Amino acid sequence: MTNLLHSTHSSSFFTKYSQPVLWVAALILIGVGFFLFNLSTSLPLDLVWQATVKPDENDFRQVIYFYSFLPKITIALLVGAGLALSGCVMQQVLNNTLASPTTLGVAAGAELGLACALLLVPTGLAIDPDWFAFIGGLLATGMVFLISASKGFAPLQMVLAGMVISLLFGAINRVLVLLNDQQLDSLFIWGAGDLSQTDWQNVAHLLPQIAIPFMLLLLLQRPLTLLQVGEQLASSAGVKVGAIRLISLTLAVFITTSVVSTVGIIGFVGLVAPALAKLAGARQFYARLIVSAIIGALLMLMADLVVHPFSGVGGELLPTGAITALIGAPFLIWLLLQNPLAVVAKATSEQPVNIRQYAFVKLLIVCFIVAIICTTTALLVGKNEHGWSVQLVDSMLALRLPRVFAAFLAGWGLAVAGCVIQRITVNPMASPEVMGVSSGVALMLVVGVISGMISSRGEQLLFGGMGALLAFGIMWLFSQRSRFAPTQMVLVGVALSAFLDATIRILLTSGTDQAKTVLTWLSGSTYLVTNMDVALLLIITTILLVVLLLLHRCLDLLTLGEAAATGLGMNCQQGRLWLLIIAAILTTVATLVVGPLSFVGLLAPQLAKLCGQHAARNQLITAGFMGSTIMVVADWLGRNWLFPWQIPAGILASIIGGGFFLLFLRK
Amino acid sequence: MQYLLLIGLLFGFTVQAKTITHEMGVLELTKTPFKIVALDWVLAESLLSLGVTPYAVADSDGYNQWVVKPQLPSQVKNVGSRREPNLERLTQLKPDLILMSSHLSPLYPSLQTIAPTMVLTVYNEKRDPFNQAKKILNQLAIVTTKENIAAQLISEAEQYIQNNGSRLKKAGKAARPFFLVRFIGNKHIRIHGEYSLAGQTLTMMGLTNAWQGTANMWGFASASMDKLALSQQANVLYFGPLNKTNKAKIFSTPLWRAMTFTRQKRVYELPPIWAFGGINAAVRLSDTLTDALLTAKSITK
Repeated sequence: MTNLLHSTHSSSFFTKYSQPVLWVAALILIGVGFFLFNLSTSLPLDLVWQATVKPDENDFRQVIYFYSFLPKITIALLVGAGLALSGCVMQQVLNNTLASPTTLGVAAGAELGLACALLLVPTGLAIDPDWFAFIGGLLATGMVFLISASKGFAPLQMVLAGMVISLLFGAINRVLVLLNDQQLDSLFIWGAGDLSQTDWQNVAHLLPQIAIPFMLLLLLQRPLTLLQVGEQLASSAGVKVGAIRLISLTLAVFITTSVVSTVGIIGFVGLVAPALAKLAGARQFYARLIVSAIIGALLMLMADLVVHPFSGVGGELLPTGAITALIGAPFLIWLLLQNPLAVVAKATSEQPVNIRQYAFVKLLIVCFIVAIICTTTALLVGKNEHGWSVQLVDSMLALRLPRVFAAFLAGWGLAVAGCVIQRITVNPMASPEVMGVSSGVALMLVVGVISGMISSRGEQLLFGGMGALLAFGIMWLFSQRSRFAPTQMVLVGVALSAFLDATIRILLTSGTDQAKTVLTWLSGSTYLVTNMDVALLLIITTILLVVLLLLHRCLDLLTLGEAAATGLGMNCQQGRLWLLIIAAILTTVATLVVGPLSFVGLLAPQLAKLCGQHAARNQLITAGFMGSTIMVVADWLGRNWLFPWQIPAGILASIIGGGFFLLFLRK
Repeated sequence: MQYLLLIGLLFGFTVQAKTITHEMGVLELTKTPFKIVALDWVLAESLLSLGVTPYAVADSDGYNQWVVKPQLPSQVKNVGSRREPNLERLTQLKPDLILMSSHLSPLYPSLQTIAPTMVLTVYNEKRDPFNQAKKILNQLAIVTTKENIAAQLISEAEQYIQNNGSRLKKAGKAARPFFLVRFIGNKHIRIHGEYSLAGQTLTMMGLTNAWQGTANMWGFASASMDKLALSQQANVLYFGPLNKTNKAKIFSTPLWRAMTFTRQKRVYELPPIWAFGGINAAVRLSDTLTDALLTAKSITK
């Protein structure tokens, strides 16, 4: 598996003038910042100095200024700088602009830790929940390290593991949320990254945790700089590459967990600030570190000052962290379009690992039998008041049939879409979930539901389809530039997923039932599926599967790479476009039923490959069976595990699928 | 249960057929429903206050923790989450009547196939929870033939709430405005506005709500702690339960200690009351609020 990577050295207008433009922008920012600063404190100017130095405890304006406003500003600066620092270090070490606190799963781990603290620890116990967040973050990172260790911490491998772990932890987190919605309101607000402060405690807590690692990183700057020139060169210059990577990444992770456990999840600063620092012309690593920190701090401060006056309008909080993600995601995409950053993500050439080379027919028979057994079980075995029972009652079957078949077909559709996307992009990590297609669908649906424009299934399809095409459209733009460089593609996915995530978080802070209903749907519940939906799924999935099987030669050729495929007389551009549209439709209908979280599209094609099915036709069919089996099992478990409570199939599928996937990554 | 059935058979619950129009359709009843399932806590609360024990409730454990009163008898069955009540379970229970709120509207057709279903909503865009709660109590009373109990409940409730208000006025405790909040974590609050159940209860008592800002459909606004500073002459009442750790954290910050209401010890704790409940919750709120102020049980910190 080799990936064609093009590092573009663009000397476009943008890069040439980026430096002065950025400085001017910075000055404007500072000016606007001052203006907003004055706007958001109700303190007369002559009192500001007194309130800053020695606030009069009897003048309430001064108390608010000193204990609420100032710490909030300070926290914003600290958080921005901290995240930018750890993003910068991660990008340097992994040699890849994708790396950031969020993409390595640290934030998700911290969030899960905090959820566990809130739910599982008896209230009388005086353990600071922050510790749990910290442990969770470390656990997630530890897992990323463990998985990528066998590959010598290959950059792409790490980011992939990080993303999978993020989604996995996020899924577990949602299960907890769905089962304890009342208690988790504070977690929603924390998770959305609201910076409100009531004293200086957090500042005192966070400052050393960012400052000390920063010092240490500055001490490590020489070997880190050498990493840039490549592993061999760095080793020959006497740098212990592995050790340096481990130490600096651990420091970066430490900064991130501190930030996350203090103020929650802040989107994108860790990704955008280092990128901007590069654009601003900070070439040397130590310069980039410092400039990133400054840019990150300013970005965060601005975000908070801009958001502050609007928070509370309509009775809803606007959490700064989620807002930065909303701004950050489009910004990132714009940035990439302006100037495809010279991404050098060395995908270590992977030899396909086959667990066993099964003959296609044998494998097909096994898959078929397993699928039949699982589906029958899911239809007939359920629970009642007294526990497990086999129920052959019409009323039960009528309730279960649409759910089981919807899960089956959605799993099938996602698996097939995953196969197609992996082949088009010649990228084993591509999938509807990772590429952000599912997120695109979900995002449009959420927008539609909130604005009240969606009521019927038809409208849902329309909106969802628009979302999928939007995601693909953005990807298409990149494919023109980067020839489907895996990093660029996944970066778009990250941007879209983060955008969706931020939207959901903002929604959830409102704590209304409406928001929680959206959450349930997003978690991939087959609860509201009707027979009509199943019919629709069946027709669309079958037709497209047949089309794809007819196009199998085209799919086979694509994996050979552009040059070979064109040489064999195939119009690559057009072929890709049609295949992408097919994948988009499949993803849309499946996402409507099981939500954007599932992993099946990533896992099933890989599983099929691991069993030795490399030919397109065989892969499509075996992956389809595997995907649908996973989904049906997930749905059945979700319906019965905590009966009468139900856990959405999508969440469970992503836990099962994510777990499996991590196991394979280790191999 | 069997005992009740026996009584039912002896007295004969048969009444003439009734046609009741509700939010999403029409309900035809030939006899008084006996096995009633409530998928929303406010509906469960209303049933219980009429003296009718629901056969099953969605998330009964949550009810015991958050709504608390009127108490849910332990034999009441659980049908799963309030957002996704378990349809298989519902089918197995074979209820006579299912009660739901419009928040579950997509579910209405599926529920109709299981049993006659009635849609009653207290919290919707009308933003008038107290009157909506009265309305649904009356509708439930018609269904369960408890009309006179409902009428009595409503008139007593209104009287009671007003009386509590006059008691406070007499004691000279009604002049200050009130903040009704729930702490979310240790840096955020939900403030109940004018059109929340709590806000309307304040109005009926002749008291002023200190929060004049906007609120969502449920009548509350999410905010950071410093929003309370806008009106420090107010009394602050917060809904329990609040765990020890958060209590310590919230009440020890300089910001909180600097607030006038903290210095003058005008912060009161209320027991767990379901802020999105009905008539019963409103009465409980007005009772506990009056008690807290009259016995001056301010939390001291």
